[in-house]
Amino acid sequence: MGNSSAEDAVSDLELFERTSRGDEDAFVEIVERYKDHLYNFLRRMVSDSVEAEDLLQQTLFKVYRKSLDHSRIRNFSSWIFTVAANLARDELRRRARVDKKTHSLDEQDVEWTRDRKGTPVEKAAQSELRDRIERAVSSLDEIYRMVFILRDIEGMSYEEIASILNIRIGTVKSRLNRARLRLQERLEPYVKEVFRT
Amino acid sequence: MRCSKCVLLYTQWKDGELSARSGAELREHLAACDACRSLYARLDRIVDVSSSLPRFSAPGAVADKVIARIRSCETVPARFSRWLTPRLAYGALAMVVAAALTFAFFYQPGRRPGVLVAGADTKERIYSLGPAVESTELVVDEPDYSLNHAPSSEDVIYSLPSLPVAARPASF
Repeated sequence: MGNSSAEDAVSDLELFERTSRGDEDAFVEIVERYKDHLYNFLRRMVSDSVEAEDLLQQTLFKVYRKSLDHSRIRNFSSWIFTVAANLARDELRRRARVDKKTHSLDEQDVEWTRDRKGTPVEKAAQSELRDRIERAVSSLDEIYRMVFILRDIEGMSYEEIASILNIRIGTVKSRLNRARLRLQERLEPYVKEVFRT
Repeated sequence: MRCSKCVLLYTQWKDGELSARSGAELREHLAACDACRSLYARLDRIVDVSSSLPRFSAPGAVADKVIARIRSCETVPARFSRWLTPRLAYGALAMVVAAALTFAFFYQPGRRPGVLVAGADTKERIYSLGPAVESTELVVDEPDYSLNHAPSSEDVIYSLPSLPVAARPASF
């Protein structure tokens, strides 16, 4: 995550500590390191671009305000995702109270990160499957969706996810297995069809 | 191995965390069970495609927006306190000065405020209530004690109930 890049000579915690002393550049560096990861996670959690941007700003705002307590934070990467996850959870619960409807994913500002290989038919099938998976993920229960996004989309380790969600690693694994099985149940007819082609 | 157990082991199998014995049992089951083998293949495909889902990029200038938000939260109270503090100080000072002037204007040495002072000609004055007040204006209606009945609340009529001290009639 934030520390993984070779260019990140300064650690997240060091930047965070400098932020607490009013160093605006340090805070901007933190934002640059995490904004895309956080936005991708929030966007898939709430399935709404405007809401995700607002939650991203709220997350970074909270991070800045909490910089005075920087000495209490051991793992910055996990902590910043915990802040985002809590905000996403609050938003989903607020939304559930207001409206039970599931929001569909916006198609705007999607950035494809991998080359799509294969024949046009395979590409189309792959694209269709992605769309269906996106919709199926957004229809998962909150606890399964969160684990699935963090593990299978964001590629985090079980330890990181357990730390972010404050649950045991075994719970992360069992939730992930259930999330995958539920997705498979929802996508079963379509995935079978893809296999036949 | 039963299918219900096989379903629960997918994630462990995918992560290579199964023991040698469990792994061997699972492989044996998958070789014999078409449904589970198909299920595992579908799960594999979903996991693979999920890892290559398009990534959303954060909108531009998010850092600027957050910093503007931080500044607005920090500067509003500071600006407010800069505006409020001298005004509160001047207001408090003005109240103290006004109280001192009021006290100096009404204070007369040797006379306690609000004490009734009777003069030789039964003229009475009340101090600290402003200009001199004639005692006749302050005399209350007294009950008629010539009547042979116990005094009641109706017998006393205070003509100036707001005054702190009532003057007694000279004949009492």
